[in-house]
Amino acid sequence: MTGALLLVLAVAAAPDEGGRGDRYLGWNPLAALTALPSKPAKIIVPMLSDMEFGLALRGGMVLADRHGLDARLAFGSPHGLDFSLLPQLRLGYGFFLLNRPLDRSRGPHVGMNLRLWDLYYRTSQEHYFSVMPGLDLGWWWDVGSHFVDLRFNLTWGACSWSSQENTSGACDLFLSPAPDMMPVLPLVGCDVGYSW
Amino acid sequence: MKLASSTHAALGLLLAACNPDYNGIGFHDFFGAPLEYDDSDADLRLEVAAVALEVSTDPAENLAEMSVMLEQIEQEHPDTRLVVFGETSLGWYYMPDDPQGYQESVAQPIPGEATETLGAIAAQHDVHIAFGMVEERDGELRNVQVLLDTAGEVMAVHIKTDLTDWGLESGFVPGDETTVVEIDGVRAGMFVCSDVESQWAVEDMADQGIELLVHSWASAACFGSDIDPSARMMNTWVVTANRYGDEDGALYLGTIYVSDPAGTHRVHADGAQQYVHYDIGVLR
Repeated sequence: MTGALLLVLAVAAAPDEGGRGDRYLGWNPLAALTALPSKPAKIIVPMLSDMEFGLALRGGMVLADRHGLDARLAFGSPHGLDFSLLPQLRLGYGFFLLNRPLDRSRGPHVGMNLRLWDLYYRTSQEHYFSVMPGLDLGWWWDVGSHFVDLRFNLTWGACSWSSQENTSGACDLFLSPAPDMMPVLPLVGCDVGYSW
Repeated sequence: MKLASSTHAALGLLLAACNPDYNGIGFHDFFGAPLEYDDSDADLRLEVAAVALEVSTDPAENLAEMSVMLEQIEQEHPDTRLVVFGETSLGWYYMPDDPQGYQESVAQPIPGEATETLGAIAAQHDVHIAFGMVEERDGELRNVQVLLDTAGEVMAVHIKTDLTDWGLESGFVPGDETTVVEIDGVRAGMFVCSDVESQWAVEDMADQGIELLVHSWASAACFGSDIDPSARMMNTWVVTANRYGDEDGALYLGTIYVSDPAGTHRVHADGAQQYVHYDIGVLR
């Protein structure tokens, strides 16, 4: 968590050496809607908020040759703040497929990420941790200094452990958390933000 | 304009569906790898079975089928101490043409024919039996889970608290409290289907420190995960029984399982009338 915060701060404080729009800060607005206590908000919206809940922020920078570093922080609850908490940290690498003229959007990008997930149920007072790798594919539009980034993210496995007594950690490969219902579940995410 | 009206419509849908007591079980609860839970040094052990029953519209047929399943379980696993059947096992969960009229026709008092028939089997085989049925009480219908003890007597009746739209159309009156009992020294909570989606009910069960959740279910949808979030939410073993088959277009998958307190399914089956059996180990 501290690492992501430092990266976000570094992005904000770094001198501008990379040209216009090489650093950015963003927000995933749909993650906030998951706070509503309804089945659509708890089951459908999270698939459109990239499984981020509550306040979900993002920061990063585009390095030379179209390579990018990205950090995401999210804090909220998939159930209700008095029932559970789910802080998340994600670090990612991305590559923009096209060279961007200064007056054009960055366009398509691909990347990979690693998500640290800590689902804490207040009812049982147990933490369920996971580290989950993901692959993402998206499109980045610039509108002046602002941007919209639409992404698909596919989690392809997890290593998990818990604070619960008598448990031991395990790793598993999967393309969906509910394979009988949906064998492959790519998540959608959409961020808005500001770049400079 | 189109985007704005679509956004308003979507927000309207989200707000209209709000239920402050909904605890929000969803895909997020299934993310991660199933954990290993070591109960080899358990303080208490209890052999349990969960049944997926193909239910007809006739209570007498269903009671006969339940008796057959009980005999089979007792023959194959004679040390079984608890057998769990699904929700409203004496008849269809929902009759589209006349929801309330049908449930009135299959409802029974407690004690009554169903508890006496199954109670005799419980006493004969020295086993607890939990099953869902519609109770007629004081002219009202209740969707209940009955627990019979090893003497065949009614040990507890839990009234479903969290009714679905189909339940409301069927004229069921909700309960307003959780039910916790002891089965061979194991502290067991009783849930009917969507009770598990109720925030207060889950919190109350967790506060009472249940060690086993006895869950009678009627579910046409299943996430298909090897993780049971309710076990994790309450730090408890879970035995879940269901129904199987096509009830006038409502397809029930027959998903049944026993999950350990880490939420990992120890046994799991679906797609047929059948049962699963497991020897759970309770750690204290």
